[in-house]
Amino acid sequence: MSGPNDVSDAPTGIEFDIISRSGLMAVAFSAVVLIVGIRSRNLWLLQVLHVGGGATWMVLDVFLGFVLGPILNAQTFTARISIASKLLPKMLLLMPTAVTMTLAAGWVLGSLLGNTQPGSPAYRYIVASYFLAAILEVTALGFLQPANVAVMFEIKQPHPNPEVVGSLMKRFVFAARVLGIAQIGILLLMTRIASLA
Amino acid sequence: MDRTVKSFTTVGVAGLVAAVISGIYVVTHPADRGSIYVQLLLALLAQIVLMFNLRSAETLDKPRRHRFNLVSGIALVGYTVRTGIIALAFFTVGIRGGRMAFLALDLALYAMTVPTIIGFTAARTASIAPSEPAEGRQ
Repeated sequence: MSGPNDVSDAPTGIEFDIISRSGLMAVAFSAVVLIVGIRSRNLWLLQVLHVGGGATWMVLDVFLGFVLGPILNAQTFTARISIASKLLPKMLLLMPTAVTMTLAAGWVLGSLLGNTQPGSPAYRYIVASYFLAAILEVTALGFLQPANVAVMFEIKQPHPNPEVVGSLMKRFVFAARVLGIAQIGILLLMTRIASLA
Repeated sequence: MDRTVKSFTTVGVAGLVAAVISGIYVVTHPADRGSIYVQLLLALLAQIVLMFNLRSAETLDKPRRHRFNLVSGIALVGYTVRTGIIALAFFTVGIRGGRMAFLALDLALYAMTVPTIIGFTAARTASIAPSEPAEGRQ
């Protein structure tokens, strides 16, 4: 019976693009829209970018950490690298794009609405959100994204090491779980700020 | 060797924490209030960590160094664009002068530290030539 530690299914590397051209085009388009939103100071566009980016970021973290991650870790090695080769290149581009949209549009939006001023009723929630965002950034950039990149390089090798992939995937899923929990805190803070308006 | 590379990643995360806290300190303290020494100390700490990591990259063996350079180079391009957009957001809402200079410094440190963390993590798995079978790994 096969399981997560079963490597008898002769692991071999998978050919795939770590960075896809179509994905880069989508990232470039998002960056242009974000720059237009920031420079135009259009509140509606900034709301779209901040809320849309934040929702994407949160859903991805919660889904990866609590739904897909445990399923992925229970798969055979071959199934795991097959899913990872499709999932991780998308995550590599999607996550930083969603995070940048959320933070940059959110900062401009908060400043235009006066929420980043110390006298604002929302200020303490905004400051709390900075610290949660810092936890998210450090976990995502210090643990999740490096693991993401390292797994992709490993599974591209002709003979990927099941132990290395398993260990990195566990780290990836653990980081996504920490992010999912911090994201729930951000959700509570942001909805509190919205209810003050 | 693997453990040594892992420690470079850990040190890099410490530098990232310093750069992020420094950035939060600057945005939460108006120009006339925050202590310049706290900002300087955090930015200096992040800078020292970055220098240490860049020197550490030179000690990697050839396959690991090749992967480190490849991955951190691509990541550097991405994170430079990203921090540029964030800097534009700060500039657009009227942050100027010393605060903007500190934020730009923090963002630059952030844009250089993250690629080293990603590069070291990717380099950890590059210990042998691609043609060598998996059994030969440590």
